[in-house]
Amino acid sequence: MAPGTSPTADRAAPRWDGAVARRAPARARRPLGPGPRTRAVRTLKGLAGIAIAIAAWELIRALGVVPSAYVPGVGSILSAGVEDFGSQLAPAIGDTLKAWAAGLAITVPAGLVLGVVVGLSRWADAALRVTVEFLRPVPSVALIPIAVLVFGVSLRMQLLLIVYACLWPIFFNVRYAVQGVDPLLVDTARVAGLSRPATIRRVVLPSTLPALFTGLRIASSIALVLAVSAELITGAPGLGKLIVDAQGAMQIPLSYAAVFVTGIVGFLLNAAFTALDRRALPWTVAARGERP
Amino acid sequence: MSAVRSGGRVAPALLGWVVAALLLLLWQLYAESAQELYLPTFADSAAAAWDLLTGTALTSDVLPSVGRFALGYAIGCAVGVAVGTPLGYLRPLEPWVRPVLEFLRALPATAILPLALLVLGANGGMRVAVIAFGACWPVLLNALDGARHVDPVLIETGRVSGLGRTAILRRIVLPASLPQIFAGLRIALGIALIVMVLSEMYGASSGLGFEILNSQRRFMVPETYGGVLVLGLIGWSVSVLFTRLEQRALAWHIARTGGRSGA
Amino acid sequence: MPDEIIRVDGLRKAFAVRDGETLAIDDLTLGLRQGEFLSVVGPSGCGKTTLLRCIAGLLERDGGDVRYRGERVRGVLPGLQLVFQEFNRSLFPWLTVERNVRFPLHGLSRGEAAERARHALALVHLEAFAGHYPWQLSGGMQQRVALARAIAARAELVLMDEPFASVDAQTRIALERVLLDVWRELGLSILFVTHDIEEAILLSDRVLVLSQRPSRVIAELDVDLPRPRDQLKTKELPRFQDLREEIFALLGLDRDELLAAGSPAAT
Repeated sequence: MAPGTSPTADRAAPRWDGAVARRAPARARRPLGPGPRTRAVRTLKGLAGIAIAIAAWELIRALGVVPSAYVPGVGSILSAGVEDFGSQLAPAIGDTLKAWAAGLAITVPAGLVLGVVVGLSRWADAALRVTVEFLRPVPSVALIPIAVLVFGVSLRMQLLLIVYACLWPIFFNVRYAVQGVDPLLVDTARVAGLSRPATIRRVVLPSTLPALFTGLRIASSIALVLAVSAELITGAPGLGKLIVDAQGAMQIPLSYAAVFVTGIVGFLLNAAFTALDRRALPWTVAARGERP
Repeated sequence: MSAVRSGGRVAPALLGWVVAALLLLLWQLYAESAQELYLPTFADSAAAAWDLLTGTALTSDVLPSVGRFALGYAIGCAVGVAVGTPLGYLRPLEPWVRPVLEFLRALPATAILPLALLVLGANGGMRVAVIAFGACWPVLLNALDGARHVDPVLIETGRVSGLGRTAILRRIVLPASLPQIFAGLRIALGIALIVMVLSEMYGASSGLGFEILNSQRRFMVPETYGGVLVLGLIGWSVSVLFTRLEQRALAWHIARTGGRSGA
Repeated sequence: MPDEIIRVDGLRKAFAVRDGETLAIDDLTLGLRQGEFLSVVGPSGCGKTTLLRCIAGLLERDGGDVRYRGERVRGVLPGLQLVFQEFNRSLFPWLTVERNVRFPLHGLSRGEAAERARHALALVHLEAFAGHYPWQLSGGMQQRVALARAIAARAELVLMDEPFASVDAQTRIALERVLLDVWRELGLSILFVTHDIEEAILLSDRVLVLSQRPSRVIAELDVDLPRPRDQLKTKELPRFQDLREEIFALLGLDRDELLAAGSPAAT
């Protein structure tokens, strides 16, 4: 803008030193969050980090710090994984995920119902409080022997464990959310003439969704840990059993591959739930914080 | 006035204990009458638990288990905080390490037990190492995220006061991330307990986990339940201790926000 | 004429945005004399906070010089304290008030640090709250703690970024008085950024008026009003009114088309 074209330039203000009032440049609307270029750079850095980790693994092997017969190179692990994927890894993944999915399918509705009931009723909450406080810290894997006693080595044995362990995160999260429902919302519903069941259905339940999703994410990883752990000990079919069997058959690279795949499965499940979380309830993610 | 108030608080708490006692009674009566193989009475289970806690098993199994758990947990948490906090503060490094860290966190720690046994041998050190491995990732990632999100105004206050990077890390970033770190510590507590138990069920010859599994395999059912009860007791005590510690360490945060930001 | 403690020459600062750069500060020059109370006023968003941060060394500048007692400075300026607008975020929530005030005093012995903290708290009339936590205090009190921290650090130079913007009017009056008392007693040099024109005139020896972004100094006014200043009496003086009118005019606040395009007050 040339001096003199601004509407204020002709004002006789003796102290102006010639600076022309300029309007701040209009800024285009930017979407929230990192731009695509930043995300791409982050991804690249992440991949580079993985490459460095792999290099570090090989370095440790080369240094001879650990007996190299028992710590195969990344190459041999990869080839074992690829070779035996169809015959060993894929079925094992399927078996583990079967238990995982069945367990969650039972636990989520149960935890939701229990959480809502206890959350809504102060007496139910008080009645169960002591019992829950004593049951909760029992490490779920400690129940493996009991589960085997009752159900033998079977899917139901795994389900017993998974349900027991995963009930808590879902139950507590839902209960917490129900107890924390904004009373203003409930009052609004009542003033609008909603019956109690309708209020629960249309106000309370939706309010619990964010907490439910968080609990679901936690429960998912717990369920995987329990499914695999039970397989390790009892020989129920799945990734845990494969890890043990491969080692027993001295197929060490395959054993490592199975461990790695277990990690990948966990990683993907976690990523899936986080993405689901963000998609379904984007506005609450920041409010809840990122970590369970 | 105070009688009414304390009455209002006592009654619900009492109800909790009454219900718990009733459930135990129910267990006892049902087990007595049904005579199922896999369901001993509460009395028998409690007796077996008592034996574990007062007999030779205390020093040969129970205490060593607790010791390994405590050591593994402590190491895992220390490593997690020591590595995670600087990583979060030094922003540039974070995108490089995040995928690897997220993978390691998602990997169920118990899955590495067979291979750890192979590489490190069947000894207490191996078990402690695996416990530490399981415990460190949630702590590390929480410490990292906590450090990342420290209010920049606090850090600027530090810089203006002439503090160097190390001092800022120690005196500002660490205390400010404490709530987030404690959330990770609590998660790690549960994981450490799980890994401890499982490490004693796989390729072990002593320890509380071994005792429970061994009893089951020999169909000594009350002893199995007794071991689980002892484990529950340990888990409960550890949890209560942790909560006490958390309340003291985060007193400033709890008072300010009216509640934990963690679990 | 006392020496200049701070000299800024041709300061330039740009920020990267989506499609290029936006210039926040362009060729800004100012000098702060020892013991002077200098205010900087300007339209919203003109970069006053950026200016303070550049002087303090918290932001890297893209051009120009900052000199402290004649020496060019890179990085964080030594011997200064910055009082933020977001005072509640600048106090460490895990420390008591007293420990917060002691925070910058890391080179001293415990006894000496405690003594300085006590003295500083007394100056802002908060000795009784030394053991409290920041969240237990009101906004005005928290800002006083931040001020006490600057005092305890024996900073000769205090940069203040709209420190009273978020407190209510009555608290602000009290805080302004405390600030003037402390300034006079300790002989501080203060660079005070504000959007409140009356506050700027009331407190300072000189007022600099900044332009719209990209900012530069468009006017410099000597506030030749008698000291000690008073909230009521000083504001009634005709000279006060004159200064106010002049600054209003410079900022374009006296006209109806306040937010019209091209007006300095438009953002």
